[in-house]
Formats: sequence, C-alpha cells, structure tokens
Amino acid sequence: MKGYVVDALPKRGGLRVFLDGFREVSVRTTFPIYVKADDPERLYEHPAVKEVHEEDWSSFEGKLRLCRVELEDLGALSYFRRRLPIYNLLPSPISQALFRLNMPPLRLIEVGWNGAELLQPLNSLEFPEVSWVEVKRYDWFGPYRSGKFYRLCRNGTIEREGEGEPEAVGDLAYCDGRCPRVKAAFKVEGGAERVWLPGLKGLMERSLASRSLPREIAYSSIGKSLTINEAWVAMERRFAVPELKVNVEDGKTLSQLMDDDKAGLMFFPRPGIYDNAYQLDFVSMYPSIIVSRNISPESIQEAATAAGSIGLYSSRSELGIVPEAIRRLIERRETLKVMDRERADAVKLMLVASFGYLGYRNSKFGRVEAYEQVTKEARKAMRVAMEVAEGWGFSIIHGIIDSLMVQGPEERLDDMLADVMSATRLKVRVDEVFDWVAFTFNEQGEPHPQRYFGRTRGGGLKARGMLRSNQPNLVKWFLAEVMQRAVQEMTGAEAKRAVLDLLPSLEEKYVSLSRSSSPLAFVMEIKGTSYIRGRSGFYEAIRYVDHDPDYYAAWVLRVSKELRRWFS
Amino acid sequence: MRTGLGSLDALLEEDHVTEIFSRDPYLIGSLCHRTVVESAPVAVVVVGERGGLNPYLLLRISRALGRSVSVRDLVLVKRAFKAEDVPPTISSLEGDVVVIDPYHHGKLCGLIAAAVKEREGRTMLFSPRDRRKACGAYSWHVPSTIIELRSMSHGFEALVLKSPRFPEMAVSLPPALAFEEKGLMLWDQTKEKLFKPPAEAIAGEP
Repeated sequence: MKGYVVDALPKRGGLRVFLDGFREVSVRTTFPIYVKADDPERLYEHPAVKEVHEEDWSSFEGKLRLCRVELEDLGALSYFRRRLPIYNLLPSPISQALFRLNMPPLRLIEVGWNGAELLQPLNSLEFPEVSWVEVKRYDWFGPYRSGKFYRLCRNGTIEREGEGEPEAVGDLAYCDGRCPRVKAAFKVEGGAERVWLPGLKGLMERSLASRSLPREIAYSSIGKSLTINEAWVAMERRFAVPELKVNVEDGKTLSQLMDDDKAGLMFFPRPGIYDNAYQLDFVSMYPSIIVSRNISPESIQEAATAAGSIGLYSSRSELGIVPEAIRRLIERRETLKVMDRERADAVKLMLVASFGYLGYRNSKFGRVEAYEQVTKEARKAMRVAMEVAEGWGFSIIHGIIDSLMVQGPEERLDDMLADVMSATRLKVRVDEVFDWVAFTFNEQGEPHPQRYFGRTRGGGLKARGMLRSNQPNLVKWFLAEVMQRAVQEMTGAEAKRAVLDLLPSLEEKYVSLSRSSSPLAFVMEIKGTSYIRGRSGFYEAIRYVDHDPDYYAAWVLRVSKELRRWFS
Repeated sequence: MRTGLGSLDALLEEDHVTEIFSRDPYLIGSLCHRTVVESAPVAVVVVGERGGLNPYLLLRISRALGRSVSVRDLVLVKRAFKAEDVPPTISSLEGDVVVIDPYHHGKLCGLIAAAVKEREGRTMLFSPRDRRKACGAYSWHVPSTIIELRSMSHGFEALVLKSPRFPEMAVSLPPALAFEEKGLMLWDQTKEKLFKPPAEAIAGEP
C-alpha cells in the first residue's frame, strides 16, 4: 500500500499509522526512551519494558552512560519520567519510532508485509500529494472566527465561499474557529494553536523540515519545530539532550555585562527625503552568524572552559549542533525560495526564531552567552559594513539591525558590496533601489526609526510602518492615496510638490467621508480584534451601531498635518 | 556587607544570611543597588528574565558616593533565568553574595533556601514582593534577620520581623538614594579647568 503518513497514534505494542485517503495501518513497534539508571536490570520490573540497552552518549555534563529502554506501551513514559532523569524526549518517541520504521511524516512510503519502504529521500523537497483543507471565517469587516461567512480552500486554491457551516473532507484540515462538519485524519481547530503562521501549508513544511508529525507541532510554539530539528542533529551525533537543562552562567563584571547584554545596532535616520538611495540587507543575518562563527551552546561551553572566559566562541572545526541544524534550514530555504514562497516563509519563521531561542531560558539548546555573542557579532558586522561603505564614498542614511540605507555613486555599488561581504564574511544584497525615500518624524522633529516610504526603481511603492492595523481603514486609505500619488514622481522634490498640491482636496474628501461612509471605513484592528469607535467609546465591530465622526475626522486631520510637515 | 545606612548596618552586622523584602519595587531596588555599591567587591545573582540590576545606576551611585575605585570590575554578576538555575548559581559563588528576587518563580523554594543556607560567605536576599505570600514563610528559618521595608513620606521604615539580637521593632530611615550627585556641575568645573587660560598667564600678558 502506497501513501503519505499524515498522522500516527500510539497503542499498546505499536502504532496506528494514518495514511492519506483515510487509510490506516497497524504497525508493531516499541518506543525508545533514554534514562540514566544506576541499576539497569531493575528497569525490566516494569511490565511495559521490552528491552534495555546500555549506550554511551555525550552531553552538556560530559560523557554519559544511558539506558535505551524500549517500551511497548508509551503510557509508561510518565512512570519513568517521575522517577529517573530522562533524556532525548525530543524528537518524541513516536517520531523516533516512525523514523526507525521508515515512515517519516508526510513522505511517500510503501507498506508491505516486510515493513515499510521510503520512496523519497528523507530530505526531499517534494510537497506531499495529500488533500489539505483550510476554512477561514469572516464577516462584513474582515476575518472573524465566529463570522457568518466562510471561505474553503483545498490545496491552496479557493473551492467555495458561503454562509453557515462548511462541509468538506480532507487528509489534513485547519479551521479558523469551529467546523464540526469538516472531516480529516488530523484537524487543527483555530483558537487553540499558539502560532499560526503561515497557514496549513506552513505547518506541513515545518513538519517536513523537522521530521515530526503535524499533530506534535500544530499546538506548539515555533521554537518546538526548531528544537526538534536541533535534537535530530544531536541524536545523529549521540549527544543526549536532557529534559531540563540547568544553566549556570559564568560570572561577568559590570563592564562585561554592559558590553555584552545589548541588542542589535540601530540608529535613527536623519528625517527628510533622499534621492537615489540603496537599501542593503544582510541575508539571514543572525542565522548566518550562528553558522559562519560556529556559535553553539556546547562549543561556547568548551571554548569558555579552554580559554577561561567567554569571548572565544569556538575553536572546533566541526559545526556545533545549533549551527548544523540552522545550516540545513538555510539551505532548504534557499532552494524553496525559487520553488514555493509560502514554504520558504515557513522555514524563514523557524530561522527567525533560531536566534531568540539561543537565549531563551527553557530552550534545550539555549545559552545566554551564545545569544550575546550573536548580537555582538551582528553589531560588529554592521559597524564594519558602515566603515567600508563610507570608504567607498557612500553616506549612511539609516541602519537597523541587519539593514543599511546608503546614498552614493551607483557605479561603485557592486565593488562596495563585494568589499562588505569579504570584510564581514556575511552575504549582503541590494534589497531595494529607491529613486527617492522619505524618512518621517514626529512633532518634536525626532525621527521614527522604522517608518519610511519611497519610490522604487521600477516605479513601485515601498512603505514600512506607514500603514498599521491599528489605524482605521479610512486613515489607511487616505495615506495609501497620498503615497500612491507621491510615487508617480521621479524625484523627492517633485513628490513634495505633488503631495502638497493634493493634500487640501484629499483632506476635504476624507473629512467628509468620516461623516458618511460605509462602516468598513471605521474599522480598526487591535490585537486581532476589530473595533469601531462609537459615540460612547470603542466596541467590537461585529456589533456595529454607530461611529463617532469627530474622532475619525480628527485622525484624518492629524495625519494630514503630519504629511504636510514631512513634505514641506 | 553593608547597606550604607548606619542604623540598618548596626542591625545586620553579625548576620550570616539577611533577607529584606518590600512590596515597593523602587524602595527595595534602590536599597539593593546601594548595598551592592557599598559592599563591593561582591557577587550578585539576578533571578528572572526581566533583570533587576541596573549597571548604570550602580555606576551613578558609586560616582555620587565618591568611590575612588569604580564598581565596574568589583561586582561579579550571574544571571539565573529559570527556577532550576537558581540553586546551582548561588552555590557556585564564594564570598559575599547579594541575591535579587530569589523566589521570583515561586517554586523550588526549599532548594533555593538550602543553597543559601549551605553557603559559607555572607548572603543578602532582596525580594520585591511580600514574602509572607511568595513561597510563604517556609524558608524563613534560613535568614538570621528578616526586614520588611515600607515607604514613608520622607524615606522609609524598616520593620524588623526576625532578629537574633533585637526585638520586633520599626526603624525610620532616610531614602537609600538620598545623596547629591554633582553631574553637569562637575563637568562644568572640568571644562573651566581645561579651557580657561590660567590666571597667571592672563596676568603675564602684555
């Protein structure tokens, strides 16, 4: 029987494996758990233990002798968990069992009398040919979990839209809200998941990348997929991962603490409109630093022990566990980028979390020194990049963590980039070429660090931080119209004139719209909930009664005043 | 170890373990920072993810108190982000130790108290919470002296809840950070010294 593994559930003595098309296979297997026991013979006293093997592992504590206990019943795990130090719980015993059975999740397999055969390479980039269904609910103002209407997508394309309760059958399903009539081998119901980005396809990609069942990661934070990924690398190297990692930091003097405990480099732009600007971007900066500098908790620990202090991150030629896991993800993302953007974004999300997880207290592969070393390297790389750019005659307009905005001779851009890359040992690319770019500022003249917009070389608009979900739609439409008019002009000076000419009439139009427009204009989203400002305060948009025209008119006038300031 | 406030230091001078707590985070924070500066060289354990130790405030206090040697290299800091990290971190330090918010997580109280009790050096615990509730009075057998701070209109009040030498009493104290820092005035004097031509040079001009 050929098919894709979409889900699996443990039972006594084996697994119930669910293949696509609602097919089910029962497989006899045991579940491996790793414990530290003084007397391995006594482990057999538990009726669920089938076999015990003593193995040598390395760990954060040094060399370890662990017992691999093969359980017939996974229910016995809690018994051992309460009594003995337990290791390698990630990847889960079910994932480990599936891996041994040649049945990794969402991969094509063939099940026969002699077991299963994997028909695809383990790291294959092929997307499983299963039926996956997404149901999203909405109402008149936009997405809403208890909305009247629904949109049903199958395999990424809209199948139907309608009102009431949707009905569908698929191998995997995601419902934004409740949908009792959608049947699937595994269904995620919205509201319980902790991270839902970017959709069911993203979840499937995370499942493929981390070789774990969608069930195991659907309701967990993004860090779990990442940790499972790192745990697979650790298992390959026979490095035991404890259930709880206790960290004792090396002492730091105040000077060291003040130097190390800092975030990425960011400086405020000089407000104004600049012609011919280039936005340079370090490609996956933090993950690349982790890989190129080989920053991993275990290598940091070794280096600290050898050198007697933190600062020297690794003297080993072999990549650490975290850099190795991240290197694989970076490669996967690079290939997926040309194949499927949505899947590439799901991997990107894991890469984004990879850096934060290095410093997270509950991370299995976390160590705050490693985290600090990454930010230190990032600040250093930015400073070096700025010096090199200035050396080539470019002036720095703005810089934030992994991105620099520069102005200067275009013919030297490629040489400068090559120089920056060799000096920092990181990949840098030109993210955008602007004909002009405007940096905004507040009433006191202080610049907004991350609020700008401009005309790109192709005549398009690129805006950051200008349109925000907590602004009413009316204000967003007003701002969008102004920016669209501005980017029709080739230079900053022309854009200034065009906006100042347009503003009086546009302001009048939107102030009048604030009194008589469709209710949609007055909706704003705050923390995922849509609100409207009524005469007696804010209320949820679903209960639309009225709106406060003065509130919206005042907002339009305030924005208009801001625009005048920026363009005068 | 000393707090820099005479009457409080007299209360605590013979203690091995002292615990000071207050529901007012500013009050406990300012006394804790002053204690770190006054007791330097000292080790500090910061419990929790959101900090509790401001290095720049320590430098300011040190400067304002006119310390000839900066606390920059005299204070050793270790951070314990989760409850399980706290006991081994406390045990790993020798000499005088200040622990900021040891019962922050509200769990493993017994292990933390044991780690404090086992230490050979002096230990001062500062908790920005009502310790009657956080971890209860379970670990109160460990400190020799327990003091609760309460803010008053001019300064604060230290209630001695447990002490081997004194009965239960209240001591009124001035604010822990009540001292003058010359700041820009000092810079101005330096500037004058640097850029003003010396008087004799002016007098000697033709």
